[in-house]
Amino acid sequence: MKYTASLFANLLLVWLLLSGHYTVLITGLGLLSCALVCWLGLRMGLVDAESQPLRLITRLPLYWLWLTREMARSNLRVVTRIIGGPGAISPSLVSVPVSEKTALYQAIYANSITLTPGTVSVRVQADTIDVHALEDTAAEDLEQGEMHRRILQMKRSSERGAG
Amino acid sequence: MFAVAMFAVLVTMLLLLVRALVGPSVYDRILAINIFGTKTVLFIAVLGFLSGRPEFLDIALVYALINFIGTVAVLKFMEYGDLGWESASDREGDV
Amino acid sequence: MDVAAYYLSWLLLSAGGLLAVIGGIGTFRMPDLYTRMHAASVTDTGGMLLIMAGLLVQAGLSLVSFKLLLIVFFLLFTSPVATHALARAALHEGHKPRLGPGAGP
Repeated sequence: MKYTASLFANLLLVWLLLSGHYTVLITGLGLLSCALVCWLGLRMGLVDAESQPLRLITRLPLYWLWLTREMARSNLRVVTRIIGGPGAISPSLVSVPVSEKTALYQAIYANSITLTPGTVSVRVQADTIDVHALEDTAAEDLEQGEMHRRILQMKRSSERGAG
Repeated sequence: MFAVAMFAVLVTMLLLLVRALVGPSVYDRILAINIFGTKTVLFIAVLGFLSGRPEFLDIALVYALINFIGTVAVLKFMEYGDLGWESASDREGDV
Repeated sequence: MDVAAYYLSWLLLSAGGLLAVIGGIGTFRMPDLYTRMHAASVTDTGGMLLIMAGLLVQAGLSLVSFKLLLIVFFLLFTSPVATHALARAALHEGHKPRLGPGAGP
C-alpha cells in the first residue's frame, strides 16, 4: 500500500510539473491516467520495494554528491589521457568482488562504475563484476573499494533507520 | 553564448557521424550512434534556449527515451538475433 | 546577480562544449572499441552535465528547470545501462580488448 501511494504521488507530481496547464479537465485526465498506471503496475506485480526504494531516498543525495565529485575527477583524468594519445594509456581488465547479492546493490554498483569515465563494467556475475579500465591506476582505485564501501554504508544505514 | 555551445555540440555530432561511417566493427557504429543520440538531446535543449522556446525540452525528453530504447533494442537483436526470448532460457539475465 | 549568472552559464556552456569536442576527438585517438567507450563517456557525462548546468543557470527556478533536471536524471540513469549493454554484447560476440601499456594498433 505504501509503495502504491508513493508511486501515485510521484506520477502525479511529474504530471503536474510537466504539463503546466492547470484546468479541471487536464488535471482530471492526469489523475485518471496516474490511477490507470498504478492499477497496471499492481496487476503486473511491479510495485514493490525494488521499484520504489523509499528507504534509500534520504541517503541517495549524499552518495550522488560524492559520485559527482568522483565523476569530475575521472573526467579530468580521461581528458588528459585523450590529449596524451594512445601512448599514455594502459587498458586493463580486472574483476571486482561483490559482497552483497541483492539486485539493487549490484545495479547501483555496476552503474556507478560505468558512469565514471575510465571504467566500464563489462560483465556482472553473481559474485564479481568484470571491469574494463582505461589505465591501471583507475583499476587500483576501484579495487581499493571506496565506492563499494560507500554504497554498502548507505544501504546499511538505511536498513538500520527502518528497523 | 548558446550559439557557442550549439556549435560545439554540432562539431561533436559531426565527429561521431564520421566514426559511425568508418567504425571498423558494428559495435563502434552502435556506440557512435548512441552518443550521437545523446548529443541530439543536448542539441534540441540548447536550440530551445537559443530560439527562446523552452517547450523544445519536451521533445528532448521524448528523444532521450526513444534513443535509449532504440539502442538497447538494437543491441539485444545483435546479441541474441531476436527481440524476444529464445526458446532455451538458459542464458542468465537480460540485456 | 544577473551579470554573475550570465558569466557563470557562459563558463559552464563553453566548458561543456569543450569536453564534448574532446570526447569526440577521443573516439578517433583511442585504439580499440573499449577504450573508445571511455572517451565517449566523457561527452556523455562531463559534457552533458556541464551544458545542462549552464542551461539550468539560465532557466532559473521554473517548470523549465524541472524539465532540464528530469532530462539530466534520465540520461544519467540510462547512459551507463546502454554502455554496459554495448560492452556486454561486444564481449559476448568475442571482441577481445587490447590490454597493456600503449595498447598499440
